[in-house]
Parts: sequence; structure tokens; C-alpha cells
Amino acid sequence: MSDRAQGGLPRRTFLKIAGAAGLAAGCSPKAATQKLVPLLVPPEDIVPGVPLYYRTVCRECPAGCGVTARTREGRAVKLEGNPEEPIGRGALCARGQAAVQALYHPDRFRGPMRRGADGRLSPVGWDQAEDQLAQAIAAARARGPGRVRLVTRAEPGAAGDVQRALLAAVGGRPADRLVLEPLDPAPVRAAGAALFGRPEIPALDLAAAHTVVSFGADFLESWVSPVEYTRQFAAGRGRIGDDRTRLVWVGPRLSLTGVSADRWLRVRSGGELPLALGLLRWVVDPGNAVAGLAPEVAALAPALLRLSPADLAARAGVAAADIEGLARELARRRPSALLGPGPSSQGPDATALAAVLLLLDLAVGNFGRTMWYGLDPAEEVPSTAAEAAALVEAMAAGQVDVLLAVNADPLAALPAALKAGEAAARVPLVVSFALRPDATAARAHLILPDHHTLESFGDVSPRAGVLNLAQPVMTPLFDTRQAVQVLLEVAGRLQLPAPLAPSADPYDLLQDRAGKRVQQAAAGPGADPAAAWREALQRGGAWSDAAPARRLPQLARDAAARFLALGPAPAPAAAGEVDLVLFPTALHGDGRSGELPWLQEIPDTLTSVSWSPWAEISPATAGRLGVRSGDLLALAGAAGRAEVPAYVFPGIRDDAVAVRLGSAEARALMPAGLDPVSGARAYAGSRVALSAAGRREPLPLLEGSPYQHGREIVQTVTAAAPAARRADLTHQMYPEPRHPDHRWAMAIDLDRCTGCEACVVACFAENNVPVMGAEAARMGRYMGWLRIERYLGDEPGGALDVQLLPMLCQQCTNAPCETVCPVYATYHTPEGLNAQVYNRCVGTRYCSNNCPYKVRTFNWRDPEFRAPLPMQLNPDVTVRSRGVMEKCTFCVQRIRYAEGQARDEGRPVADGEIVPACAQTCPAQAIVFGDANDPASRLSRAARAPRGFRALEEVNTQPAITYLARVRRAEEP
Amino acid sequence: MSCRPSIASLLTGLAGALALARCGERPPPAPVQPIVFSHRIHAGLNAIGCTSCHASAEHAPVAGIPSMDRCRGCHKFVKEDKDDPAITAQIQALLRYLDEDKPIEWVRVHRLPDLVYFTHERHVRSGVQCSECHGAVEKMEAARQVAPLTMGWCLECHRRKQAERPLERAHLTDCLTCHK
Repeated sequence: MSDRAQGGLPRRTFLKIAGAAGLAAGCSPKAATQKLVPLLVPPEDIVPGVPLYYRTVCRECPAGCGVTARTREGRAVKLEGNPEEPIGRGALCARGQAAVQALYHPDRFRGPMRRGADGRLSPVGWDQAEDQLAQAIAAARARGPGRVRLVTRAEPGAAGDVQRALLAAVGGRPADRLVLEPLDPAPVRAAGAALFGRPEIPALDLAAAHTVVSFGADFLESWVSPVEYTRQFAAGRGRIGDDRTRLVWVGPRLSLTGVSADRWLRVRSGGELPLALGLLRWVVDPGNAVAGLAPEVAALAPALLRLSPADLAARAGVAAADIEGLARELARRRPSALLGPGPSSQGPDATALAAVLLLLDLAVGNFGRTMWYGLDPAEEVPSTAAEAAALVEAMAAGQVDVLLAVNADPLAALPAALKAGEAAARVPLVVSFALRPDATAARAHLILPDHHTLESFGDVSPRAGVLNLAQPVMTPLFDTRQAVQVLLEVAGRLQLPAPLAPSADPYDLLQDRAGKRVQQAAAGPGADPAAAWREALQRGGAWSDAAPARRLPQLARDAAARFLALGPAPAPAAAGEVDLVLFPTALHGDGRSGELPWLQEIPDTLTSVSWSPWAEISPATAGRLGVRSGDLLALAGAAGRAEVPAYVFPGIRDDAVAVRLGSAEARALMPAGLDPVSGARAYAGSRVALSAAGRREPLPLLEGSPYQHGREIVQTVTAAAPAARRADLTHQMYPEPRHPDHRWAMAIDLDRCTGCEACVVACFAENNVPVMGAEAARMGRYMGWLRIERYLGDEPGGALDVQLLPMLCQQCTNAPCETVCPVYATYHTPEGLNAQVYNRCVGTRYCSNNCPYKVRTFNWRDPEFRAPLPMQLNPDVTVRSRGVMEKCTFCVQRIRYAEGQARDEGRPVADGEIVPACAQTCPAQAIVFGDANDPASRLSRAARAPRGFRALEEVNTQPAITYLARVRRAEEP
Repeated sequence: MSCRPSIASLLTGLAGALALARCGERPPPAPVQPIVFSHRIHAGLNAIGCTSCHASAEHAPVAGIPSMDRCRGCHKFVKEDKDDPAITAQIQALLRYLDEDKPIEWVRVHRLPDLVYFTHERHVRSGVQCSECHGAVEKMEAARQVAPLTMGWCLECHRRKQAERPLERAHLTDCLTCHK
């Protein structure tokens, strides 16, 4: 082929000129002039380049974990747990860490806005906006009670007090304040109230439980207090033998919590109550002679024995022998803990199910050993779905003049069937306190943007003895105002007989309530209450060992009987109808922070879907409908209809379809029905007609093959064979690299890992990993340095055996990536890291192609961080550009920092001093990092365990990561 | 197909090579600052130590630009030079900034690329003198860059120091020491 273009410049000459011109262009003009602008008066504690930490609280779910915010030059860059705080204990889940992206969300409101006659929002001054709101409230008050309504998240603190006081001051009733927590386990409260007179969620200690049985309660993902429960549960894992905590998952769909279970009882949707009754029946059956039964539960035998085990098993959709086997386990392995129902099992009989589970707990003596009453402060009990429906009705009837939405988005959280949007259109003044546009703000007449939690003062008491304090970690980014301050200022304009609080300043409010409590607790001879308060602010709260109720709960006379009968059997499903299962996930919870970039970008652990809703159907259902993953399914229920891409998942029953809660599709399908006893939403118990929509919408799927194909990539061990298989590595091609000082290495305990993705978010935050979006995800391009690999089994169609494997750079001793780089951009450091030098990388991608673990990611385009998201970037880590390969560094910036500290203090680096971001945040404490050269280090001891194996060890890469095999239990006889 | 190099390609190649060779080797001249600030008078004549103003050099990655408050600390009292009206005029310029509570927008003199993680603390604590990189600032009127601040120049020193104690200082030439 000719090198000369038709009548033009020869190609080579062109390239030479272009190359030289490029060089000249790159060199001649100096980089644009930069300005250095000094501060007028420097803040005393901010030193440029040195991180500063503040303690505050996480408000992404009602659990209320403590948070340590790392700030640099006055801006928050990363959230971690607060090690002193009793709920999180230093860990923070995926959603909690992603809160920093809500702070820097590009769409945040810059200041108060008012909707004009043309329907558009335009900026308005705070004074004007508050005046308008005060006038509207005054007018509504004059028209009678109940015309001012407030919707809020649970606020167990001063903010809740102010809301209540404001409503009371304008003549409102307590019911005018709707506490919107869609996933609150109201049936557990209702059952506790009915049985024991205790409308509480019991406090748990799962570490003491030998067996945990969960009826749809995703306690490792979003149920009640997932970080705390994960820590407790993991404490009983990672060992072989009878003292390892077992988990049994009961539900129609295998959730991520179910993946950690040793056994999955594939109960039919709605079959949870018959199954629970079957367990209780077997336990109290005198014929089974279970010793040490609580007598008040044993006395229920006559009522229970009337139920037929075969009938119960048939209604549950499981074998009678399975029920008996689990009942035997509960009788033998004490104490245990029966949890539930969770959202995916919360049907119209949810209170009865919760009651039977509590009776089982009482029967086998779990109260006082793994669960306690008396620690739920019950200061802020969320409203029920029935109350939410009543509010929508009142709005639709024109009985509401002012609707205040404070940190709640009722129009997105309530089922579409309630038509809350249409009802809101009949409210003359809808006021949203949202930080950024949401469904309620889209209909609001007035937007009074709240500070983000990281800009606010506040107090949260998630349970007795725990007082967590929120304080600003940075100055507010925009012209926002804390909602509690706005409410107090509005109250100030109402000419009330007495002010609601001494001042509208949120800090004064914090001092007035939390401050007084702390100082009173510290009062005493020789005590210094002021110092106690200062210390509480510094540590992030004040915690005391509140004593749980000593006495066991007393079963009220005849209270149990009403829960021990089953209603008529549900009608058989019509042709084409399946049970609808709605489930929350660890990444999205109830969906309130759903659209944050990290939470969208990180694939769901079980399905590897990102950026899209999906509907799970079993392979048999898929075969029947003739669809495969990515084909659109049409779901039509009594509440509404939706089209969702299918994901074929063997972890769901053939008679069910599952959709994630918090998605618009789940909202459209969500039944308006309730559990009549507790008033809770019946997420379960409805059916939808399922058909193929005949179109395709390819899902952004990260998985390759979800099967191990006989390669035993993830190993398991049993009590009978407690050692993992190790490869024979007698042959060496390359000289062994030497690591004279340190050899950084990691051990990951797969028996503790729950796949909650907290580590992945931590990695995104710490290492400036870019978010590439849905299009890139559809092309399989995902920049995460750490991903949770998930295998569904060995071969398609084989037994379902879900295994998780956190996969990150293995920092191999014989690293295949290093030998193929033509420019030495990746090389082996003396400390054993496979370094990636971005400024040397030319993007050949040879290294990635040669990596057996597929942990290197390539920047196909420049990352995009829309303002003000760049404020979150970690200044200690390079932001990579297009054309560069990147990968896990074992958080080398943290290694260097710790080494520097040690050198300053003239000592060697201590074991445990270096904690990579993933290990730091792990709620299960499954990750250990340390020096493999030190045989006494915690890492070396963990890696020597017989359960230890290395991924693809047979290729002789000699990874620095040792996985500790998951323990598979021997089947019960 | 012809294999003879054309004159045009030779010329452009030469220009490119020259540009490459000179790129970054010669430090730029001192930039024009918003007000005249003489390091000679402060650090030289009055022998004020570097860390009196660049306060975090010993304990942070960044040496620190002195705050306006720090200028005020002395110039609350030093308002004129009785012998030199030119210097008095310079001080007056500063005092105007202080009166108006405005920061001086200094033009940056030393700059490393974003991919380099340089820390003053590590260098100062290892006994590197400020002047080794910044030159004899106490003799300069306006601060200017004297060292090329290229990777080759950094490494030249790192190699020399490493050769003094090769075992202890193996890290000095590791890429990850400066690039993260």
C-alpha cells in the first residue's frame, strides 16, 4: 500500500510535523499563571495539607451511627465510622459513606426558591420566604386544627421536639406530624405491644446467638441497624465447628442477607406465618419433649396442636421435614434469635408473624440472652402506612392548607396507588426543605433548602444510653438554612404567646437539650459538667451503658391466642400471575439516597446490575415466558403496572417476581394494602400478572459468567475437611522478588464478608475512583478498584451455591502485569506493591490483558466530576486522566502517611497502624491488613489459618491476598 | 516509496528536539507581584527565619503562604522606613491591603505538577536546607524559581542522598515515594 496520500502531504511527514508541533505546543507556553491567595486570619486548627477530623452522626437511615468526617482545607473529603460510638463502632455502610456526595451534589439548591405563577422556581430571600410561610400558617391556624401538616424523617432529638412544639403551638394534633420511615418494622412493635405491652423493637445481641433465623429481615443490608447487626453477627463467624453462628434465611427470594445464610427455606410468599406456626407447634408439642420451654408458651400447646403440620407445610410451600429440622435446631442450639418480618415478608398478616416469632423467642429463652426490651427509647415512633394514607386522603379532600416536607419526600416514598401527587396539587402551599430536587420539591411552592447533616448541629438518640451529636464539619456551601432554625424563625413571626425555644440558633438548641443532658449526667462532686459537654462534642456523643429491662417480658393473658390461627388459604394464583416480592438492598435501602452517583455506579452484589431497575425471575419462569436477562417484563398488579428489564436469577421461587424497593417501578407496583393490626404497609402478599413486553433494554451488567465452571475460584471448607486446597508451586520461572523491610499483605475472611459493598464505596471515596455512568456500564466499563465477585454455583442449572469474593489487586509477588509493561509504568516495589505510575503509563493495556484477576481498569475517557463534586476528591491521590491504567494501591497514601508518622516518632510502623479504606469501614471486620514479613502480625496469623487459600493460586502469581474460605455447615440430620 | 528524509521533516524534527531539550530546564524569571515584597529585606537584612512566615514547612506538606494577619503582626508597628521613602511607599501599599482587609493575590512562583506528592515536612525534617531548592532567597528582591524542579533534578539529589546510605534509603528512588 502506498504511503503517499492522494496528492497531499505524505503521511509520515504529516506525523512528524504533527508530533513536533505537539511537543512545541506542550512546552512553549508555561502553564497558566496561578494565584496564591492568603487567608486574612487563618483558622487556628486548619493546616494546609493536614487532615482535620470531626465527629458527627449519619442520618442516611434511622440507625444513627456515629461518623468521623475527614476534612482537608475546610472541606469534607471522606466519612468513616466513629470507633468510640456504640452502634457503628468505627464502621460505616455504603449509604452512610455516600452521604458526602449528597453534600456536594451538583443539583443542590443554592438558596430558597419560590414557584411563580408560571410554575417556575425563582430565587427568593430568606426573609420573604419565611414571611410567606408564617402568613400561610397563621391563616391555616385561623381555619381550624389539622390544616398544617408536617412530614419528616424520624428525628429522635431536638429537631423532633421543635416540630412537635410548632405544630402544637398552631393548634395542631400530634397526628398532624407524619414521621415517614417506610421500612420501620411496625409489626414488631405492634406484636410486642399486644403480647407484652411493649411497643418496641427489641435490642439485639446476635453475637450471643448460636442460630439466627431471619424471616425476610435483611439485617445485614438495611433492616433497623445493619452496621451494628453485621458486626454482632460476624463475631460468631469465621470459625469451624458447633460454636459458629448459623443463619437460616426464610423467604421467597434469596437476599444478600440470605447469601450469608447456611440454609435457605424457600417459603412461598405469604407462607412465612404458616412456617413460623409450624416451628412453634413443633417446639411446644409435648410429644417432642423440648426441655426448658417457657411455661407460658408451653401452655399454648392445645391451640397450636390443632394445626396440622402437613397443612402448615403445604401452605408454607416447604417440606414438613424442613420445618421440623429447623424447629429441632432451635430447640437444641440456644440461645438463638428469630428476626422479622422484614419488608420482603411483610404482608397483611405481618403482626401475627412478628408475634409468633416473638413467642418462639420467648419459648426457647432468647429474651435476656440475645434480645432485650427497654432499650428502644420510643421517643420517635415512626407513623404507620395507615397514617400516611390518612394524610393523603386529607390532602385530597382539601383539608390541608400547608404541607411541610422536612427531610422527607412523601411523593416518592408513598405508593403510586395512593396518588399522593394529585392530592398534593390540592394543597395551597407545599413547602419542601429538600437539599436538591425530589418528587415533593417538584410540586412545592416554596423551597427552603436545609443544610446537609455535615453542615448542621443536631442530636440523635437512636436508643437508650446513646446520644449522638451532629456538628458542622465545614461551613455551608450554599445559602441554605437548617430546617429547625427556619421552623423556629417562622414560629417567631407567628406572635405566639411564648417562644418555642430560647433562640433559633441550632447550636443553642443543641446545648439546651443535649448539652443539659450531658451536663446533668456529669454532675456530681468534683465533676466538671462543662468539660463533659466539650468532651461529648469532641467524641461525637455521650454514651452510657443503659440497663435493659431486667425482667423477662411477661406474656399478657390470652394475648397470644389471636395470633395462633390461620386465615383461609389464599386463592390459587391465576394463570400468568406470580407473587410480587419487594425488597430493599444494602446500596439503596428505602431509596431515599438512591440517585447518588456512587450508589448508582456500584453494581448490586447479587445481580451485578447498576444504573437500572431490574425484575428478578427464576430460570423456569424465564423459560416459560421465553425471556432472557435484559428483556422487558410487563408487570401488572392491582396497584399499577410497570415495565422492568428481567434478570434471570436462580435465587427466587418460580411463583414470584422481585423488584427493588425505592425504585420508581416498585413504587408503581406497591400495593396500597396494609397489615390491619399494625397499620404497616403490606409490601408482600400481592400478585402481579407477568408477561414478556416483547422489547429489550439491555441491562448494565458487570458479570461475566456467574458460574465457577469447576475452577473452585472460591473455596469452602467444612468441619470434616477444615483445610483449603493449596496448589503445588514447585516451579519458578522468574527470580523471587525480595522484600527487605515490609511485605504488605491482606487477609479477607469470606465467612465474615456479607457483600454489603461498604468497602467498595470506601474505595471510591478514598481513591478518587471516577463514576462513568450507565452507557459505560453497558459496555462493561467500570472503574471500581474493588468489586464483590459473586458466583451463583458451579454450572448453570446446577445447585444454587452463592459465593462472594471481594476482588481487588492481589499485589502479586510474581505479577503478570509487571512483565508486560513496555514502559515500566507498573513495577514491583520493595514493599511488595505492584505500583502503577500514572504519569509513565501510555495506555497499552497489556497489563490488564495479562492480569488473571481483571482488577485493572482503564480510563477510556477523562473522568467527569461536576461542581461541586471535585471538593470531595482526596488531595492525597492523583486524579487519573484518559488513556491511563489504574488499580488498587493498598491505599499507598495511607501506608506512606503511617510510615511518615512512625519516622517522625523514631519507631517502626506498628502492626495495625496502616488501615486501608476498605478494611477501615468493613462492618464485619472481614479484612485484615499488615506486614507479611512479621510473623507475629495479625495479618500473618490470619493468613496462616488452614482456611486460607489464594485466588487462582495455580497460576503461581503468589498473591498478597489470602482469602479465608467460607465454612460450609454439615447438613442437619 | 521513498526512503529519503525530506528537508521539512528534518527541520521540524530538529525544532522538536530543541523544544524538548529546553522544556522546563531553565527556570522562568521572577513574576511581577501585586505589591513589591522584598525577601532580601525580610529574610536577609532582618534575618527573619523562613518558618516565621512559612509556618507549616516543618510539620505539613505545604510550607504555607503567610496570612494577612501575620503581615499585620509586624507591620502594625513597622509603618515606614525613615531612611528610604521608596521602601516606605512599598510598606504603604501593604498597609492599604491591611486597611481594606483584602488579601494580596500573589503570583505563584514554585509549582509542581499535580501528579507529584511533594512534602516539605519530610524534606525539612531530613535536614534539607530551604536554600537547596529555593536558592538564596535572602538575597533576592522578588522571589524567583532557581531550580528547574524537573523530575531529573529531583532524582539527581535523591540518588546522591541514597548513595550515602543505600540500605536505609532504598525508598528514595521508588516511584511511589513521590507519585501516588
